[in-house]
Amino acid sequence: MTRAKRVFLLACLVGAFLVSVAIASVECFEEDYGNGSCATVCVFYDDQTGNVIGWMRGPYHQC
Amino acid sequence: MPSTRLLQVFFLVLASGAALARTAEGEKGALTPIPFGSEVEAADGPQFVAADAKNRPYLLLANRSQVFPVLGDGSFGEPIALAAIPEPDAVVRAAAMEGDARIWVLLARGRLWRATPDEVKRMPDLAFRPDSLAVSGAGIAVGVLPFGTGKGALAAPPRAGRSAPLLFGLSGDRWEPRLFGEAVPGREEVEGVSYVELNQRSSLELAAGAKGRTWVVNRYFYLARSVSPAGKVLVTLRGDATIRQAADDESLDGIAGRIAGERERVGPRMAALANTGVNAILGLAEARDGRLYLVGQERGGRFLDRFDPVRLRVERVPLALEYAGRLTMAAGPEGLYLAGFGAQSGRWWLPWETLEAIPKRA
Repeated sequence: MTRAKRVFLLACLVGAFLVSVAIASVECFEEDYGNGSCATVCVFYDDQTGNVIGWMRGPYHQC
Repeated sequence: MPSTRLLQVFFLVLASGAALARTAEGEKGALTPIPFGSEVEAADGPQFVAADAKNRPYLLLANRSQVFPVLGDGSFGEPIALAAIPEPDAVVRAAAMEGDARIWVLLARGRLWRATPDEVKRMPDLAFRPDSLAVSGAGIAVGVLPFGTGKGALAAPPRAGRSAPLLFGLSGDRWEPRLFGEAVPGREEVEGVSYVELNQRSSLELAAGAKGRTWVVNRYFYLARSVSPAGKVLVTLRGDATIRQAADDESLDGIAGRIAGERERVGPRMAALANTGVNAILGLAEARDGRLYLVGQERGGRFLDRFDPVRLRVERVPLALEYAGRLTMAAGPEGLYLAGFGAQSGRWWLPWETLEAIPKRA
């Protein structure tokens, strides 16, 4: 496979993932790890399957 | 005492079977679920199927706050309108009926609500983040993740290294831990991959059982437990304890890319973590005869397991179901009803006469 084809296929894959993001919803929570240490966590869901796609975690901060 | 005896069942999951490695369609002996409720136009938002105390199935369309009786021919009757959660954008992540189609417990934005046609009331906060729920004859059971919310009354606050509650039951207006699981993570435990693993090892699917019991099933690996109202594990069914990762099937970078693409929505300093875990169990329901039905998946296809907790027998049959997300399930008079999470993802039923043929097919 040529480099151009590989780049094209990669671009198609990235595009497909970006489209699929459109069905995701996000909820953010404050997580308390004790001793005054907290972090904000956002959970990403696939709205058709209910599955958790992943998370984004912020830096620690004082609760 | 038969009611409290601890039973351990180990069964060999037929992972190596070529039949399960093929796609579900066309597999020999596979059950094909029948679509139902197609006369209701496509609705947005989640849906949940549940049976009332008289074994009658209903479907909740959460965004509409409507509960449809499912009739014998698979069509819907006149809907019951519930009061809506006073947060218009909140997505209902889990729902369970309190024995009466006019009373539902809902989980949305990490909070629990009790909805009836007249009102919706917020329930007491939990000290750990709720993730799943069921309502049995003994009351509401909530599966939680081992992350403190900083809210809710708890006899002892979450402390790193101690075992965290996995399941809570509501006693009066107070949540009491009924089952314990992973250790409460400290700061170092929630870094990187450990955070993903903690989520995968703690995520549950719940279903009501007879005599106030709750079926507690792990979402990402095969472990099913019947838990008494007092929190005693009565029966344990163990399957494959491996958490299968999606990286086996698709690019890990691609999944991470889906999350990283969302950074603008939540903040630039946030670190992206992909959930590469593949659901091992999609949904479950106990039938009136006490047998537990579980829909799960292995590489290449879905299956239906039927577990008899008295005879300690498991029967498995391939399921011709393309849908691979979370399911709610309910046992009705005509058969077993399944609903995909999104209202557009599908809803199906399996007649009892077909299910009774499982041992002959398996």
